This record gives sequence, structure tokens and C-alpha cells, in this order.
Amino acid sequence: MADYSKYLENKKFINWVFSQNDEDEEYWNNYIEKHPEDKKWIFTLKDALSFLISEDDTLSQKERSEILIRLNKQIALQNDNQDRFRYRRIFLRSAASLLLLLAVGGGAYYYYTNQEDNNYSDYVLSEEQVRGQESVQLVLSESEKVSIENDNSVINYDSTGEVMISAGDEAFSVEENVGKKNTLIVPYGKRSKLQLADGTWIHINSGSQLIYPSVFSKNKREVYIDGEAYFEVAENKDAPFIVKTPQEDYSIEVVGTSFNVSAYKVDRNFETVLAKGIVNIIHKSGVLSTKEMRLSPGEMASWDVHSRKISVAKVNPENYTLWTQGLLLFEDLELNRIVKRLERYFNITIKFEDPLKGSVRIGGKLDLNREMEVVLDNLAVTASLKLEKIDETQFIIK
Amino acid sequence: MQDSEGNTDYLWKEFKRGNQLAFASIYNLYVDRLFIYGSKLTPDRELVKDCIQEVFFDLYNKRHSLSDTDNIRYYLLKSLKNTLLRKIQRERRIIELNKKTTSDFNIEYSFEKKIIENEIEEEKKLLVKTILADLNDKQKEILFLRFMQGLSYSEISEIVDIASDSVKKQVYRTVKKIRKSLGAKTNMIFYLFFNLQKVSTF
Repeated sequence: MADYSKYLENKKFINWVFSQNDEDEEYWNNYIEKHPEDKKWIFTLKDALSFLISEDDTLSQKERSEILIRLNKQIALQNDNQDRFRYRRIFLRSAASLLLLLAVGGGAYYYYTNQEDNNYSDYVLSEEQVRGQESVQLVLSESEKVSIENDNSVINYDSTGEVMISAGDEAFSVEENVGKKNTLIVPYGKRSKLQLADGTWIHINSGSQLIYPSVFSKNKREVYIDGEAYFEVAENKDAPFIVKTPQEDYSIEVVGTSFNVSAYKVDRNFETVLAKGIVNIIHKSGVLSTKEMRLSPGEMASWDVHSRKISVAKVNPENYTLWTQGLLLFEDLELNRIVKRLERYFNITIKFEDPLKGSVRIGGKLDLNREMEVVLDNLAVTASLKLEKIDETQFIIK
Repeated sequence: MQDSEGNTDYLWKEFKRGNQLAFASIYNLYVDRLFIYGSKLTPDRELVKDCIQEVFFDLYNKRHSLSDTDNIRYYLLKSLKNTLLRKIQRERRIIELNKKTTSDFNIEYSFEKKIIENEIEEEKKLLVKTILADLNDKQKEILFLRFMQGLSYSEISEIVDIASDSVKKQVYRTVKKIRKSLGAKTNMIFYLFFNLQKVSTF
């Protein structure tokens, strides 16, 4: 007597009953011919089992390939993120700085989904918030922020909007960034150098934030600066380059040129110094009167935020652009302003015991690349002042 | 191991080495199977599709820690069930719609269409139908995994969380019942049932 289970446990048999392909059919027909004594058994079992064949819902060919495509994307994205993660692990030594950014940023954070939306002022961080950052922050989108711990970083956008960040020995790139507005936050004590998609170079000084699109539109290039930056604008007659400031009434329009803008939200004066080329200062003095003023190289336009008045003076542009190389040159400049620069540059606080001393005007040169203590000593000597250290970040001028 | 997918050892090794084509081949080889199983566990086909994606994504990420001899089919079916249950449970927790357990197994048997060659009286058909309708979800799932998916008893036991020999008993008991209702002219199935101990597994 044949053993029934030898069929129920036979994979080939099960396949024959449930998968029903010709190959199996042939095999089992041959088999039955050779084992006629089992014929009845085989068909009995086959009949019984065929009741267990299930009715199946199936995927269409389209669905099948859609899942595979999504799957491949997911894997590609993951690999990308892993690369990014490796990078971040190096730079995000302090996760706290990011948390802080998110916490204080909160509503202030704004991600430009619309290129035409140029209402920057509502969305930028306050001075305290910028100050509070421990490292340079590059905000690419809501979900992507890169922390750059190096004091002097270089960020490049290529014409497609892909970003390359170099800081110290590390380099890292981000793709698929097109059309988004990016924000670069440079806290006190840090500097950054940025090349935009059009080739324009911007040196961003401490305590500044710059907002710009990853790729410019065809006929207009617009960025926003709260702070100080030195621009070397790539020439493009078809697309004027406009620098917006925290004051809606004050902006700078350029074609191709090099100039320095100092427009800290907290400062009383916004200054634009032209090194070469031509810039137009667009400012409002009254409710409706928008004026355009053309600067010539070696001129500085100084706009008083309160009075809305603009004045022009001849200056040595080097005095206003050498900070990009870590040098501070000043002629007949109020001590207050020098101190402010140093506070930003080194992320320190310098107080005056006698506030009147702040209005003393001095001239000289400071090499900011040197140790902070050395720089401060040099300043004290130049201004014949006594500068005392309270703690690591606080100093007082006596 | 040779199964209806053919010899998958080579494919598996290539996939573990990071061969993208091998990965796509594995996907194509198993996706239909997985979908069929998944759609028995939930009627939500989009959910099943999402879970299939997740299962293969996990497989990709775990490729280095999987052994050479793992049965891919078993591994994938099991992951799919776990993934589905996890997602369904999560959804239910959020919406709190359905208090039903997540072990539903909805299977439709297609025997009415398939048995054309052998004329079976309506009466017998009805009898078998009743037997199948009486099966609980777990029993249905066991039969499905055994016959439609070709898993071993021990693999099924892992998936449905029932002891391996009990899985085997369930299978034989059902086959026996069906056979009986088709006409107990022979006691072959009966005989078979009592010969379980002798049976070798594949």
C-alpha cells in the first residue's frame, strides 16, 4: 500500500497541484504511468487539495514596478543621508546648538517656498538668536540644517544649486536644493565665505545672516543681509543684483561690482562702501519718495536708520573690506564702533566703564588673525586705554 | 535549496555582495507571493504595497547580517506579516477604530472555478465548503502558507506562533476532512492521518 504522505510531503506534488505548470503536468503524467498502483491515491489527494487553492488578488505590472522604483529611491536617499550623517557627526559636535536654533528659531524660522516672496524681515532671527548660535548654520530647508563648526568656512553653490561646503579638512555636498531659499547664519566669532549659483562671492562677517536662493531666477538676483558682508558680484547685465537689508527702505542694486555692506539690524547706520564698479542705493526718505543714489568707487553711503537721511563720504575702501582677510583698518573711527566689531568678531563683550570713552576717535590697524588677547592688547595700546579681563568672554575698558 | 523560485543561492550571495541587479531579481521573484499573502491579511492593498517596500528596504539594509542559508521566501513572508501587523496596530491605536485582533486571515478558496475536470456533485462541494468555512483564521493561514507558499512546518510554526507538530496536525486534519467529505470510499486519508509519525518533512 502506497504511503499517502509521500505525496502530501512532496514539494513537486504540491507544486503540481497548486502552481499548475506544464512541466509538472508532464512529470506527474509520466510518474503515474510508472506507478499505476498509486494513480487513485494521487488523484484523490489532488482533488482534496485543489479545494485549498486560494483566490488571489494580484499586483499589476505597473504596481510591481512602482514599488521597485520607490524602493530604489528610498535606498538612494538613505545612502545619501548616510554620507551626510558622516559629515554631520564631524561638525555637529554640539547638538545643543541645533536644539537652540530650533527652540529660539521657532516661528521666526521661515523657509521660502516661493521665490517671489521677498518679505524677509518677519522671518530672520533676532540679534540675540544669531549670537546664541555656537556655529555657522546653513539652513537649506525646513528639514535640512547643516552646522559648520569651523571658524572660517567656504560654501559654494554651483549653477544647479548644489552646495559644497568646505570647512577645515572636511568637504560635503548637498544636491536637490533647487528653488529653495537658503539661510546662512554666521554667529559672533565666526566668518564664512559663500559663492552663489551665479558666481558671486560673498564674505559674511560675524553676527550676520544672509538669505538667498539656491539658484537665481533669470532676470533678478536678490539676497537679504542682516549684518555685514563684502560682495564681489558676478557681472550679469540682464539680471541686476539686489541686496535687501533689515530696513525695507534701504537696498542696494548692482550690476557687477565689489562693495561692502554693513547693515546690522541693531545698528543705527547702514553703510555701503563701493570698492569698484557701480551700485545704486535705493532708499526711501519719505513715505512715498523712493530715491536712487549712485555711488562711485571709493565712496561710502551712510544711511541713518532713524532720520532716513543718507550721506556720502570719500573713504579708503580697504578700510571696509580688509576684514575679509581678518584685518581691521581704521582711520579716525569711533572707538565704540571698533569695539562693536571686535565683539562680533570674537564673540565677546567689551564694556566701557566710562561710556564717554566710546566716542573717542582713533586710527590704526588690527590683525584679527592673531590671538584675541593680543588683538585686545594692541587696541589698548593704540587707544591708550586700560582694558581688563573679567572672564573668558567679558572685558571692560577703564 | 531548490524550490519553485529555482536555485536562489547564487542570487542570494550576489545580493549580499551588494549586487543591485540581484536585489531587483529577488524583488521580482518574490513580490507577487508577498502581495498575495499580504492581501490575505488585510484588504488594504496600498498598505500591503507600502509594507512590501519596507520589507525589501529592511532586507537590503540587513543583507550583511543574513546568513547564506536563510530561506528568502520564509524570511520575506515573515517580515511582511510583522510589518503589516505593526502598521495596522499603529493605525488602530491612532484612530481606535477597530478593536478586532489583528490576526484576521481572509482567504477565498477558488475551488469552484478550478475543479472542472473532475465532476463533483453539488452536495459534496457544499460539504467541503462548510469544512473550509469552519476553519479559523489561523488554520486557514497555516494551509495557505503550507500549500500556496510552500513553507515547512517549522517555518509556519514561527509565523503563526503555534508548535510545529501542531501545525502539521492541522494540515493533515483538514486534508483528511476534505477527503472524507468527497466520499469516504477509501480510508486512505484516515490511514494517512495515523501515519504522521512516519512522515518525513521537506
